[in-house]
Formats: sequence, structure tokens, C-alpha cells
Amino acid sequence: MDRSALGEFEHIVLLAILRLSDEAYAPAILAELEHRTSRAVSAGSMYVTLDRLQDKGFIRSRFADAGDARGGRPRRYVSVTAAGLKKLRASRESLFNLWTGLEAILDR
Amino acid sequence: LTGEPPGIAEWIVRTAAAESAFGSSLVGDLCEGYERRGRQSRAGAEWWYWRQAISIGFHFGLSRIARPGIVRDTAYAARRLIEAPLFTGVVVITLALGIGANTAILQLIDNFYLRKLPVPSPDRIVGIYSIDARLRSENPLGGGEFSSADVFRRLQRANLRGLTSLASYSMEHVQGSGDLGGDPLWSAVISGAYFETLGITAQRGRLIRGDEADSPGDSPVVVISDRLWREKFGADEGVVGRAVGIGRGTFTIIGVAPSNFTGLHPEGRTDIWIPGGMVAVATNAAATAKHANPVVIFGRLAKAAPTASVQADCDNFVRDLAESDVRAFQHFGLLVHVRDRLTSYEASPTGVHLFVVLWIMVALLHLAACTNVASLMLARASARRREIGIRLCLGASRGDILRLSLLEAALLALVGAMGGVLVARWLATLIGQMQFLSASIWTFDARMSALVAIVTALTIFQFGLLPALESARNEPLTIARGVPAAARRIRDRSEMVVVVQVAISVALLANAAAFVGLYRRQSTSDPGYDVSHTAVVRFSESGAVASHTDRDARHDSLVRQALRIPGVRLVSAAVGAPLFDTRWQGEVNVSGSQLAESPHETALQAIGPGYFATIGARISAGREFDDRDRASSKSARGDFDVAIVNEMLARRLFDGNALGKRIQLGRGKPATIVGVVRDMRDVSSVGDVPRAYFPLLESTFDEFDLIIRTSGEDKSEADRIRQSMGRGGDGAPPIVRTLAEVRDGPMSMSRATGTGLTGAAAIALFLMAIGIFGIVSIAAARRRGELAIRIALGAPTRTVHALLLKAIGRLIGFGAIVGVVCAFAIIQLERSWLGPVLAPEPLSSGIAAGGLLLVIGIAGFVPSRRATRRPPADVLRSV
Repeated sequence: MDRSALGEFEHIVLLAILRLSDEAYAPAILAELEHRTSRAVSAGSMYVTLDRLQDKGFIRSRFADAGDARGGRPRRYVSVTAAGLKKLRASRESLFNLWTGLEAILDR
Repeated sequence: LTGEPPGIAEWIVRTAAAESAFGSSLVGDLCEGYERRGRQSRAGAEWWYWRQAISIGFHFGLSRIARPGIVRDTAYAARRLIEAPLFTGVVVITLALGIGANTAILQLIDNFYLRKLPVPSPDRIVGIYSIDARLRSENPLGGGEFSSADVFRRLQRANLRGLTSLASYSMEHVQGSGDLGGDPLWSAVISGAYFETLGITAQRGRLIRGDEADSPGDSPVVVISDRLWREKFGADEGVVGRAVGIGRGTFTIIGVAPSNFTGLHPEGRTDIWIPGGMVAVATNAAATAKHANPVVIFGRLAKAAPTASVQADCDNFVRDLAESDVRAFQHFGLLVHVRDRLTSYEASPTGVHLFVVLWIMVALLHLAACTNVASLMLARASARRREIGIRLCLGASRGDILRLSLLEAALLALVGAMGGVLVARWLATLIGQMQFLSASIWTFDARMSALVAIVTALTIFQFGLLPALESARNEPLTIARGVPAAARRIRDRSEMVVVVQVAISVALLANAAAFVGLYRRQSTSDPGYDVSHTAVVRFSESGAVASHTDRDARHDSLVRQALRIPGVRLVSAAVGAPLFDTRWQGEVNVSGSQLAESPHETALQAIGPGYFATIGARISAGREFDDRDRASSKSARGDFDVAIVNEMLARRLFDGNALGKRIQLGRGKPATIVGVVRDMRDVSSVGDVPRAYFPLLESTFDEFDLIIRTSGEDKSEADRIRQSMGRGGDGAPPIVRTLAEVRDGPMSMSRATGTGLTGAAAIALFLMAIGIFGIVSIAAARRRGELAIRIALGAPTRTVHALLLKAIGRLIGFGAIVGVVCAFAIIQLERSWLGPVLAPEPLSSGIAAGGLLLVIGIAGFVPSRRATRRPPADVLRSV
């Protein structure tokens, strides 16, 4: 099995990071996911996914200033790497291939 | 600002995310979210934080377990265990036995007391119990004008608004024939709405309908239990429609009950359900006879109806009854309880106590076995110290080492748990063969799996954690160099194991000695009457609602009939044999005085003329009841004119001089004391208790046993009585038991517990012996060079023995003190259940102490002797 394959949840987390652009840090990603997918997302699964995406090299992170409300702990902003973008494109490609030709059934 | 997030939740977050790249920012993110939510509501923010903490703890915990290293480590641990098959085998068998035995006992407790009945909405099933309002307790004898069957019939006509349906059952032993031949079947004789009230459906065929159950004599249908279907019919799919013989009738099997339903009766699994109208046919009794066994009434609450509303309806019903017939129902009451389980602590506290004693015993044994396994694991940890040292030097964290050791323990426990399930199943089958425990059924469901998992987790904790911590504590460089720096600590741990084992053995031995002592006292003490040549006759068919005159006439006729039997010397009647705990207790007070604030509970018994002469008890003053002591009319029944008290009650109420004084039962009419009898002991409570006796023929009891004194051999006389008394009656032959047999019933509790505890103590001693053997062997091996030099220089052998055994003497002494303290505490606890009769007894305690010393001596001496017998030169060459 390809260990660098994208899972469904990893896929949507990457998309949410791309949408948030420079503002992508964990609580914002969580809010974006819940807003766009209309489903509750658990914080635990998202942090584990961020760890995994970073291990796979699909995202990188940088520290930013700690706010007053964070007990002196820095924010960690994430952005999608070139490898991550490439993976997303490939994933979109394969999904498009699968979608093509199903309009007649799905639009009924 | 809202302040800090909840401390424990924050700790969970920090610990769980410690290895995450997002660790510190994650804590900050949550802090930020907490602050934001806290501005609106502090409670809301805390609730949110806790949810996040649990989610993060769960996900990071899972991801840590699932990481690749764990698979490699598990495979490594499994390989190491396979390489040591003897060690693995011994440990797995020990754990399987322990886990299995604990699971089986906990399952019994669960089945009887915790598990809900396997019916829809069991919380809505309520029991309605007849009580004697005067005694303020359930009257198990069902005495009085009212019978439970009669009460049920009246209740059916009453308007109990809180119930959607009302049903009843009574238990009867019936004899099957043909496919159902063999042992008598335990049968539930049910009223129409029985299955409808429970809301269950048949697994095959159908269940008995209301119209079938209530129409007398014309619905010969039967529902059989799942067990009977499997055992007698080999789970034949075509069983429905088959004809079987029960009693003197032929019944058609219409269905098989659900497999998880063993009936509502806790004292034994129900085999068959038959319609109430068919009871006479099934029990082989005359059609006119009314079955005497008490009827248990239950109903289903309407949705949202509280139990209190049914109780209020029942109270109104009782009030109406009392108004309609003051004499018959003046002491009658009804009690409504939720009946969602097989039984409850309130219904059967003794059962809970016995189960708990049994479980403590098994748990202690399991603990002893686990300490031995821990000792073996410690020895393995010591053997692996070089490997662990190298791992630590190469950068393995202490957590990794701990995990590796715990994995090995977890693997052993997992295999042990699988074996444990098999052992538990086997034990459950054995337990199911005991009639009074057969209502418990073995089911391997989520609940059982959780039980096994909990027992297994505790087991791992008991035997795995200590050696694992020991491994992880090693100093890397010293042990990698092969310096046994941890050897001393490992020896210390082994010594602790021996202390625990000695303590457990002493506790079990002392407990066993107390129960064996109790049995010895029970079997040898003078109960205050003559056990030999006395038989108790119990009639199964007696007409529970016979009228007062019938009762007296029947008494006189039965006494005359018994006296005609050759070899019979004296005959009397009583409610309950002298050795039975009749459970009839009440408040007896000096007549005319105010009711005491805390009145004495007195054991009560209703007895016929000549009772004390028949059982060979001595009257110390006055006379016993005779033919004069009978109610003059129906209206006078229940009001006692005369009474007899035992010496203890006489002392308590009148300083011993009781003759001619008057006592009062509850708020009843005063009765004159005409006799004082010597204190007698029923076996269930060997200590003397205050007792009062009232004339059976003045009482409202319709049921009674005949007590017969014979001159010949007990056993053959009993057979002769059974044959003679059965002839001419319209019911089944009576049950005749000798008084010695009756006594053996309650005595079997102390005998069985004593035997069980002695067996458990023997196993504990064996385990302890292995522990001591190991310690002395290790000491002898470690000091073999020094000992060889001493022997070579001419030290006497006994000095060498003393050197080796001195060290364990201290441990054994300490363990024994801990054990005695534990034993004292356990026996105190058991005394609070069983009464002061349970006490250490010199002879059994002496034998137990002797046995303990002997085992310790052998276990210590054998390895010590082996160490001194090897020629010193050989030993020194090998050091």
C-alpha cells in the first residue's frame, strides 16, 4: 500500500488549509471544516491528521507570535507544500476520472 | 478573563500531545478556545475543554498504539515467549485458572443480582408480595386465612390502574415420561397473562395464551425451556407439536422459551411452563385438590406509572378486603417492589454474603498465583538485564522498556484470558448442575467480555507491572557491563512476593479453620433435643385454603393415622421442624407494658400438643401444650390464650420467673405463659436465640409438618412412614426426612465452605511453598561460594542451614502477622453475616498452624539441604 496515499479526511484538511491561506492554524482549520462540510470534527482527529500530513511532507509549519490568551504558547501556522499540492492535483485527477460519465445517474 | 482551564483536562492534553509536532501550540490553541468561550459561559468553556481533552487523549493514544514499533515489539515479545515454552505454559495455565474462576463467580453475582431480566423494559416489572402487616415483614409461610392464590384471584378483579397486566406463577416438581423422563422437572404453573406481562416471544412455536392458562383441565399444552429442548430433544426443529407425558396427562409442546430466559424463579432454572388449569393433571394430584405451593404475583407497570401508584391501589384493595372480612384480613398487607432482576440483596442477603466469601477466597488464590507469576517474571527480568542495558545505551527510553515488558505480560494475560473463558464456561456448566444455582446462565456477550477484560487487566496489573517497572529502572551502563546492580532489588521484590504469599496462606488457613471449627461444633454440640429417631413429614398436598375446622380435623386424623404405624411412639405437629429457621419473627412484649422503643425480635413457632416430648426437649417449668389448647371457635383463631417461652426469653422478659405471666405478640391479645422450655438451637444459628411458642391449633396456620418419634432405625422408619402416610390420601406421598437429614442441610453450608476454604488454603500453601523454595534456592545459589568455603573450613551443616533460613524467617514472621490481621478482619466481616457462631477454634486452628509450619519447614529445608550436600571443592571450582 502506498503509505503516502491521501485519506479522505487528510484530503479535506489539505483543502481547508489552502482555502485559509496565511490564516491556516488549527482552530481556524477546524472552524473552516465544520463550516464547509456541515459536520462536527473532533479536535483530536484533526491534530493527529496534521501530524501525519507533516510526516508525509504534504504540509509545513511555522511559529507565530503567542497571543495573550494562549498562556504564552505560540501559534503554529501551516501551509501546503509542493508535494502536497501535487498529491491534491493527482487526487483531483483520479476523482474526476471516476466522476466522468456518471452525470446521467447522479443528476436524475 | 476566565482563568485556567481544568487542571486534569489540561494534563491529559499535555501528556497526550507530548510527542506531537504541534504539542505546545496545541495546548495554546485549546487555551485560546477556552478563553473565547469563557467570555460567554465559564461552565460552557470547561465542558468544551473537557470534550477536546478527551478527544485528543483518545486519538493520540490510539495513534501511539498503532504506530509501527508496537507491531515489531509485540512480535518480539511473542517470539521470546515461544522460546520459553515451559515458562509460558505454566504462566498461561495459572492465569487461565485464575481468570476463569474469578469470571465464573462474578458472573454468578451478575446473573442473580445485577443483570436485568431478559424481557422488554424490565424496570416496569413489579412483584406484589403478601405480607403480615402485624409482623411488618413478608410471611413466607403463607399462613393465615388468605392464601396467595386467593389473593391473586381477588387482585385480578380489583382495579389496579398503574398496571397494564397482572400475572402469577407457582413452582411445582412434576414427573415427566417418554421424552421428558428422568429427573423430576421444575415447572412453572402460570396464570394467563404470564408471558404477555413479561412481553417475550417464543424462539420456536408460540407461548401459552391467556385463555389456555386459565381454563381448568382442557388445555394440555406445555412450553419447554431452551436447555430441555437441547438436552432431551437434541435441538430438534420439529419439537413443536410433539406429545409428551407429564404427571398423569399427555401434553403437546407448543413452543420453546427464549434461550436466555430461565424463568423468574431464582432458586433453580425453570424446565417447563404449564397452564394453571392443568396443575392437577401435571402434578398427579386429585382434580379437586388445590395446589399448595405459594403463588408469586407480578405485573407490568403502565408507561410512566410510578410503583407508588400501584402500592396506593394495593393499599386501597387491602382496606376494602379488611372491611369485607375483618377477621380474615385484619393482618393482611401487600407490598409492591420493582422486580427487574432474578433476585435482589433485600430478597436474599445470605446468597450475596456466600458469593462474596467465595469470591474473596478465589480472588486471594488468584493473587497468590499472580505473585508467583510475578516472581517468575522478575527472574526473567534479571536474566535479561544485559539485553535491557544495551537497549538503554542505544537510546531506548524507559517508556520503551516498560512497554516491552508490559507487552509480554499482556500477551500472556491475553492467552490466559482465552483459556480463562474456557475455564469459566466449564465452571458455569458445573455450577449449572447445582439445582439452586441453575437459574444462572452462561452467555458470552459484551457484558461478559467486559468482565473478562477487567479481570484480565487487574491480573496484568498484579503480575506484570512490578517486573516491568523493575526492568525499566535498571541503570544502563552498569548492567550492560554485566554488573548485577539490580540483583538486590530483584531479591527484595521476590521477598515481598513471599511475604504476600505467606499472608494469603495464613488468612485462608485461619478462615478455613474457623469454618471447619463451626462445622465441628455444629455436629457435636447438644442442640437441646434428641436428633435420633425423629422424622419430619411434610405434605405437598394439603389444601391451602382449607377452613379452620378442616385444619383441626385433618391434624387429629393425621396424628391418629401416624400413631397407628408400627414403631411410632409419639406424634406431634409444628410449622417448621425444630432445626429449620422458620423465619417467623415478631415482637414479643410483656403484656400491659408500653411497646418498647426497640422491641426484641423473637423467633416464633406454632406447635401442636406434645411437641417437646416428641422431639425429646426438656420442659424446665410448667407444662407443654395439650389438646385443651385449641381455638374454641373460628373467630378465636389467631388470638393466643397460652404460650411457652424458652429460658432465654424468660430471663430477658421476667428475670427467669415467667410462669403465669402474660406476653403479647405485636398488638395481639395477651397470652398466659404455661411453660418454660430449655433453650434449643437451630443449626443455622448455633447460638441461643429468644423463642416463643404458640399453639398451632389456636393459630391461623393451615400448613404444618408432622413430627414423629420412632423406636427403630431412622432410615427404614422414614420409608415405612412415607408408605403409610401416603396411603389413602388424595395427593402425592409426603416428603419424610429424618431430623438428622434436616440438620445436615444447614450444616452443609459450613461443611462446604470449610472444605472449599481448606482446598483453597492447600493451593495457597503450595504456591507459598514454591515461593519460599525459590527464595532459599536463589540465596543458596548466590552465596554458594561463601557457603562452600564455610563447609570446607568445617562449619557444621546446621550453621549453614541457619544462615540460609534466618533470612526467610523474618519474611515469614512478617507475612504471618499481616495474614493474621487480614484473617481477623475477614472473620469479623463473616461474623457480621453469620453471627457470633463463627469463631476460631483451638483444635482446627492448631492443625492449620501445624500444617503451615510443616510446609514452610519443608519448602525452606529442601533447597538448603541441597546446597550443603554438594562437595565444597566442586562448588568452588564452578564459581
